[in-house]
Amino acid sequence: MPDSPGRVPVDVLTEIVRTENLVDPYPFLAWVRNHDPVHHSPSGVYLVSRYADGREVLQNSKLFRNPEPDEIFRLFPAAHRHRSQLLLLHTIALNNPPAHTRLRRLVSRDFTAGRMEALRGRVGEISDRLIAAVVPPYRDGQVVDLGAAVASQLPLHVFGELLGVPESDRVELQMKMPLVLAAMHPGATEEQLLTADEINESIERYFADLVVKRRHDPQDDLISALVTARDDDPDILSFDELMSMLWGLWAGGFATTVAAINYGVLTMLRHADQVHWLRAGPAGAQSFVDELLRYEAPAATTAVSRYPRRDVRLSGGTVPEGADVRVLFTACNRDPDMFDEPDRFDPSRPAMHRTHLSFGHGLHYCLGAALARMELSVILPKIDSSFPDLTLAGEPTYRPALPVRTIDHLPVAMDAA
Amino acid sequence: MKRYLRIQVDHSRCVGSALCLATAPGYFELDDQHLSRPTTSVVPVSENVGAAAELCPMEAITLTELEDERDSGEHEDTRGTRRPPTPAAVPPRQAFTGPTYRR
Repeated sequence: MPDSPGRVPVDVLTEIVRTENLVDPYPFLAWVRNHDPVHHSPSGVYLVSRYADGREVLQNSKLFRNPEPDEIFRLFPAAHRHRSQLLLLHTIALNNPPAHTRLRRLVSRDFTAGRMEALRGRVGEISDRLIAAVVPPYRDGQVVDLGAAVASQLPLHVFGELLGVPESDRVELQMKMPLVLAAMHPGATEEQLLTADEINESIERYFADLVVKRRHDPQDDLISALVTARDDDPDILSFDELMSMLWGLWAGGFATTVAAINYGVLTMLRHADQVHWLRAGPAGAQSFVDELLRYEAPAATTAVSRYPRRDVRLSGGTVPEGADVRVLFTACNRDPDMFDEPDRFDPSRPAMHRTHLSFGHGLHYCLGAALARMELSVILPKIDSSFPDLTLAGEPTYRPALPVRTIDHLPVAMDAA
Repeated sequence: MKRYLRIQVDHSRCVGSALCLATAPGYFELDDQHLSRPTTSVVPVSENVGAAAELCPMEAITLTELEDERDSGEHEDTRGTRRPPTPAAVPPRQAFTGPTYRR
């Protein structure tokens, strides 16, 4: 790598998962955005941290495109020998038009805001059930792990129901994902890849069995709809694409929402003077949620790299043709050039749902955005009203992983004071 | 006969995702409020525009099929004489939402 004046000798990708930066990322991120806004990590990745540049990378999907199949193989050289990586090829998020359009069209109507509103009651029921299980020990003065008991459970069950995964299978299916996802990077060891392949095979077998069940006995769920669509017209969705779709939805469908709920609770605790928004009815709760999504982006970076078709000059620097470019959401969302007093948590900011980058932007805008917004606006007010005098009872456990800012444990208790 | 679409974006629904811009390049733009609007309100029927309407996460895009672009009342005869609108002749059809996939 050639030296140039002002080159910062750090690897931002490594730095942001160090403990002090997991606990409070923002001082370091501000420094990166000010001094190295188009950071070239020693790993080869370019990280964009200015809001305007982030939006440009995401919106201009013709200039900043997804990897082509041969690039995926270059990025994941073991992919042709490993089914677990091959499945990536066919997911919606990894495709360019026209395949992307065809695949996204199959599921888009199932995730619209209107459809998600219809689920609000059901989300409320599941929320109540999960909360009810931990209220007694809480009221008894015990420490309760809201992360494990509520945050990690609600999106799992809501999504499981939406997709059509039977309740008894969800936890096991979910536990398999981290091992598979751990292999989804170029540096994965052969051992990690073989483990991922094994687990992946069991996941695929599971979905294939479920597909057969739903073909014979269709339910009102997404898997049944996809099976019917494919049976009606096999050209619309190949078997590999169907497996990738289910796998991709399961892998990406709710870990971010889990993180958002955990950060929602932390934000309620750190900004008690703003919690009244959660008590102001659905519109107030929505304002809190939209500002929360800006303030604490659930994913620190884009999960899928973009590749510029030519050298591109962004406001913060140039990215060369073919570079692996990612957007650093946590930095972009705190850019003072876009947001006044960006480090102030303020749900009164107007139209935040149109402005933050946490759901991405453009072609691959988060399919589950309306679901996440609705779930958060249901669960956070319920947590507020069910756990009076809520306080942290220990340090949250921040997982040093990317891109999702996973919190494994969130210990809380009733404030004795 | 060439068919046309009138494109409308409901600003009470739009979340500025820009999926429409990316799916139908050139047909949509974001204003300074991050709200989407068509670059031209009446366009020849386009598969991409149909896809954009289908992919909108807020179902904010309405497409109305017109048989004559002048039915929109927004186009003047280039020779300077304004054609009167003919609402009785071709009523706008149901909102066109592109090919539907059987479920």
